[in-house]
Amino acid sequence: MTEPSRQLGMVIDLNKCIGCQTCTIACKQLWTNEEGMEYMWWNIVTTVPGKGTPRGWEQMGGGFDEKGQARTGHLPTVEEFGPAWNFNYDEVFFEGKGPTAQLKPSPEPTWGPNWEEDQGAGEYPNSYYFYLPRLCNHCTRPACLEACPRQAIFKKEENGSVILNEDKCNGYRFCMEACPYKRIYFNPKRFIGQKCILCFPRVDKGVAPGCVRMCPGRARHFGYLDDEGGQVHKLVNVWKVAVPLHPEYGTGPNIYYVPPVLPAALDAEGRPRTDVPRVPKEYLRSLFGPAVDEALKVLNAEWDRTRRGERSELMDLLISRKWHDMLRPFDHNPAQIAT
Amino acid sequence: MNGMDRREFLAVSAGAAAVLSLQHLGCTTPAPSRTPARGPFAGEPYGDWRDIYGKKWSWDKIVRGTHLMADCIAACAWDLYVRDGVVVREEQNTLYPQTNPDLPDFNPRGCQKGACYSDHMYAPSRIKYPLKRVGPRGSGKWQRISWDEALSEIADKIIDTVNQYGSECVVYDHGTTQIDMGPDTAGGFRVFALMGSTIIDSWAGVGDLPMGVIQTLGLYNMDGTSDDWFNSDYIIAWVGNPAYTRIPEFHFITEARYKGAKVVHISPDLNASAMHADLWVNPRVGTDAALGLGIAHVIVSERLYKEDVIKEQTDLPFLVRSDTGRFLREADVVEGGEETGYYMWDARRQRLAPAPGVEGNPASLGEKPNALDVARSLGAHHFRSIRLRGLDPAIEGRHTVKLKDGSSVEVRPVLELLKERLATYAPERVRAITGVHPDTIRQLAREIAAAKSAMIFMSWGACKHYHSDLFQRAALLVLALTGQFGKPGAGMRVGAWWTIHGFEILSYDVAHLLPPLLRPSLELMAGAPSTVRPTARLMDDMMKVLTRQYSLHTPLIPWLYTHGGLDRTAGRAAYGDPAFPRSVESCAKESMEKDWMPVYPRPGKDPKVFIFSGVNPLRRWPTPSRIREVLWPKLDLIVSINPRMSSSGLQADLVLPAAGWYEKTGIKFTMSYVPYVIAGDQAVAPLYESRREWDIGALLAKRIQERARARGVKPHQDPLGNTHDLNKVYDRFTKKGEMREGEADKAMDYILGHSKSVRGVKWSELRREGATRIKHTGGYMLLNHICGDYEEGKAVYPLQWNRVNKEPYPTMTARQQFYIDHPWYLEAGEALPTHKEPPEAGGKYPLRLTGGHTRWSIHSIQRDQRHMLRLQRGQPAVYMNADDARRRGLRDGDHARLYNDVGSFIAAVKVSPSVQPGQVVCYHAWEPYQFKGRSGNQEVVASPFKALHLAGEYGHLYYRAYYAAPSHTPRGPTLEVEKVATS
Repeated sequence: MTEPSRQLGMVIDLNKCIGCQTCTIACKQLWTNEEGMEYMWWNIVTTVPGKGTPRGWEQMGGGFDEKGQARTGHLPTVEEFGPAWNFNYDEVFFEGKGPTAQLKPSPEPTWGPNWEEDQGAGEYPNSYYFYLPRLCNHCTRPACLEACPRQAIFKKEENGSVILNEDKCNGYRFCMEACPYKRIYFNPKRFIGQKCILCFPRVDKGVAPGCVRMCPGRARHFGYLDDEGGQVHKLVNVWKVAVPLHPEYGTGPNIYYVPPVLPAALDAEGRPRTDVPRVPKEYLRSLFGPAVDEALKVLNAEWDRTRRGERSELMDLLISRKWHDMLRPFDHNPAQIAT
Repeated sequence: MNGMDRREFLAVSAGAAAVLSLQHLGCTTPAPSRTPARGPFAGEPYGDWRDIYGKKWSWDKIVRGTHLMADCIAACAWDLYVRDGVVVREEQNTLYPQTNPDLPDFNPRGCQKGACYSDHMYAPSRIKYPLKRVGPRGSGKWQRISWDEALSEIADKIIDTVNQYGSECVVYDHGTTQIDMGPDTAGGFRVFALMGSTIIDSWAGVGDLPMGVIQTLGLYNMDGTSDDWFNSDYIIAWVGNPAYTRIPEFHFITEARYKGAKVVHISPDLNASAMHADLWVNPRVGTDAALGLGIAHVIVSERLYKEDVIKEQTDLPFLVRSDTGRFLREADVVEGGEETGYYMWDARRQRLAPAPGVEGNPASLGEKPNALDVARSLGAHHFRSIRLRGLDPAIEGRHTVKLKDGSSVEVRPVLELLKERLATYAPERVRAITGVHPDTIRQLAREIAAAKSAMIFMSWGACKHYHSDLFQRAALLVLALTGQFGKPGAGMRVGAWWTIHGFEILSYDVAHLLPPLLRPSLELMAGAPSTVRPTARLMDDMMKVLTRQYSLHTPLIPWLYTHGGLDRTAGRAAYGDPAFPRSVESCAKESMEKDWMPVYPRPGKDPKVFIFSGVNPLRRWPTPSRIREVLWPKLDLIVSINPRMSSSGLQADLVLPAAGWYEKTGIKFTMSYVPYVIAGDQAVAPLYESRREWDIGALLAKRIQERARARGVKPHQDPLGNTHDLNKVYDRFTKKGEMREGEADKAMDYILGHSKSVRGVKWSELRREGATRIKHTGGYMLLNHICGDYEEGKAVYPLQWNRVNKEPYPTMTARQQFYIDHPWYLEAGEALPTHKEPPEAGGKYPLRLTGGHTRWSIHSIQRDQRHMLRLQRGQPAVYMNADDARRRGLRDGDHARLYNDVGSFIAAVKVSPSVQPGQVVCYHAWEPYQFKGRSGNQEVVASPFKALHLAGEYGHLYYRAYYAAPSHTPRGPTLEVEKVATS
């Protein structure tokens, strides 16, 4: 693998994500709204803690161990991802099946891509959950790339995005086993693996990916990690408040998350506690590794400044009063691209 | 100048008019694209597998679009990407600049539902051609008929009904779903208003009417631009879930939080909004008023209140007689004095002082010329002010005053009474009611009082409990005491619209019915400059006259009580308020006899024709099976007009296919959240045989006129005595041919030309840009009670006119009124805000059902959307607390029967530790056809309503369209849950 000259990255702010799945639908409508791809959600938001999609993906292996050796991985099934249920629309609406005909999903649902929406963990009133948008991490060391015997997966030279060449793919699915994030799907119609393409047709034209540009929560920052003027660089490398998911998987993921700060936990009497956060630190560490501690420390310290009425450059970055600044230099308006 | 006949604003250009798009497309879904890729990669394809993706991101044209008539409370500008005659996807039109550099901009507005309408518009639920029922109602047996046949059948039935029973027996329902501010909504209203049909007012009927806000402020449609939320340093979301329901606005809350604002969320469950807060307060279901009063208790006992504010802006200094509990009135003190004069105690001079600027009682609906009095009183109203002008009213103490008969009586300012009431809401007692710790209550009180700008987001979701009015009154009391309103970033935020006056006058075309002198006043409604601005009360009076004397608006809940069998549940004493000695039945009788609540047809006469457009009454209304049992058999003809098949469409006699949102032109709900009017251009012709609602209205009017003339029908009178002529209904509809079927864009220009908020903008420009910046709030109107000015470079906030300009509120006392001395309120112990336990509506069961609007659908519109369903569990589900579920042997994913004395439904169970013990959450708007036996979640909703809300002709408590009326109460019914085998 040749090193790409630059690396694109994304920062997803979990304090701004509201789980609305506009990113998910943006992606579905752009790329996967066709036969064979119905069950694919290259971008998905799940409620965590939870088993996610595919169900229990964090226990499915893949990636690299501490020594950098590939770990064996499980090949996720459609049932584990959650199949795309079909519905008996015509029967209910138009076919005269009587006054009790019922619209039903088929097959009977047992799991879906967002099965655990708004459930979470803990015990009332100290339950906790937040939204975790997930997509291909466009890793610096992609386990999928190394697992593919046909070299069908490559890292794009100019921006480091991880792309699956659908012409070369022979449907072996080793990549699906190897990816520790389980973000590659199998298309049974075309007998190939398919995954997030980091919206290359858009990015090639200076337009941010659909999941970024269409996010109404303004939760996503996008750009080159080495762009010193860019928000991604500042949040990841300067302020270090954005941390990758499961860095221990060893693949060098390039999607970063600003960790969530939930409302105060309540004590046995129902009073807000200041000594422990609502989301256990261990849980956040289990997702984001030990770096999350420092990220939260910086985040909270800067947050305290604005709470005192002072200005904070970090808070201004996270607010990003001008939405365009979150995307630069990929802030071109697709509607203004000459066709 | 006659406002109704002015033509100068009608810019009609041939180029602006859309090509009439009524050609039949046949009944197949348009074929997918097979032509080579166009769009950005047309000139430089990748030349390999990547072209699959290059082609997916390609288009022939981009059309400015939006989601017309969706009844979502956002208005979002979108670009629609069209390829080979098919809308393939949509992406936000990111046109919004910052209001000023200190505020985040509005980009990119939209949500997941809007982002897949291009999928939904081609869904199997689309109705392709007019359908006529051939089996029993609900059987799903249909016969395809032509538009011609359908229109003739409806026209003849309407004429028969008008002749035989009266025009009010034809009932039109647009619900809340079928409202944008464009010609299609107007077209529906217009044809039925012109015939003197009954028009259902569903505002309270869907449970969206904040009665407590009306009781206190006399107005309720108030918010500002959503970037004003960023101006707040203390944001409370209370009985709501804006992360679900205000998706494009929510970032202003998360960003305000980053700016240092404290975000507080008050709800029993840790919902999607709560988890974005700094402090989550979790009162027991239905006890929010007690929490608010606990906070008020602390504010008063620690004297954290703003004396100058409450003296000027509230009724707290008004004197109340200790003997009767009623306000001291001029009529009590002075011979020949007014019933509507009230007093304060002048602390300096130690004597009575008349309260300045009071509004008293509304125009009464007696003889019609009273409308003239309203217009004539314009001048007198304009100079009303609540300014105290040196008067320093006492807010404490007790005084003895001499009455006109020589006797003496003790009087006290309202604040003294309030203190007595609040004494019973000490934080420790409130804890016993709500479960909230006293320290938290004290903290809230102190922080709200100390904040620079505190706001409470308490919107339509906060209107659906039996005692919601008490929640709102308590919350408003907290804000009033602390002066947290009428300034940027502060106050109660409910939601508001910029006034699009042209839409209102096109919808309710009553000018020809009005006395000539009243007609000019219609023009004033369009938003006069502040130098001659009529008071809110005057505007309310005018709207009352127009909607009560010249059209047959009827509030849904009293209508269902009369015609739909709601009396069977809402009339049960056990589901009502034990503290109020009068029965719902006696209050309803009195209210209807005195015409406080207009119900058409009047009791004793049945509705005969029911036409609903866009809405889905058998999903929305309480206990739909009872509606089918009681109301349905009375109806000779039921017509559903809708792009999609709904549960109600399945129970109709005729189903007419309406065009989808991208298949017609129009403007969207003009929500105040963005300072723009958002427009949708037509991306593709109406699918299949669908037609836009403007055309359906016009064609129906045309057919009725043709048939009326052929049948020799005579003019008829509606129950209000207005004369209508079916022989002229099409001529009136089209304004003598100015705007016919196929000419909705002319109607659009009429609307724009008569709307001060966007005056000067032509439809041809607007459709090209997709949005136009508003120039003026448009003035106080049916949907706009912002009472604040739109100024370039500033965010808009509500109640500016009252707080800054000292203009009167439209309440009886012209102030924020916390004391209501209506005899019923005194009897019920609700003269002052109080807490009452929610009734056990459903019987004695241990759990309570709550809910909220879902993130997944706007009402039921997207409930069958395949992407949306696949991102849920594919079928209706309810959330339950883990312990409650365990006790019932329920595990996540099991199916359960939820039941009470009223009905039952079966749903999947989601077990969650985030739900309060005792609470069951079922989010909004599942279609009954998604449940076993089509028994949906509304079947357990007894929906008792507060008899107090039937009161009328007291100050600001009276009915006009979209104003004070009893509510649908789907939140809080009692129920039990048991495991069942399958769905």
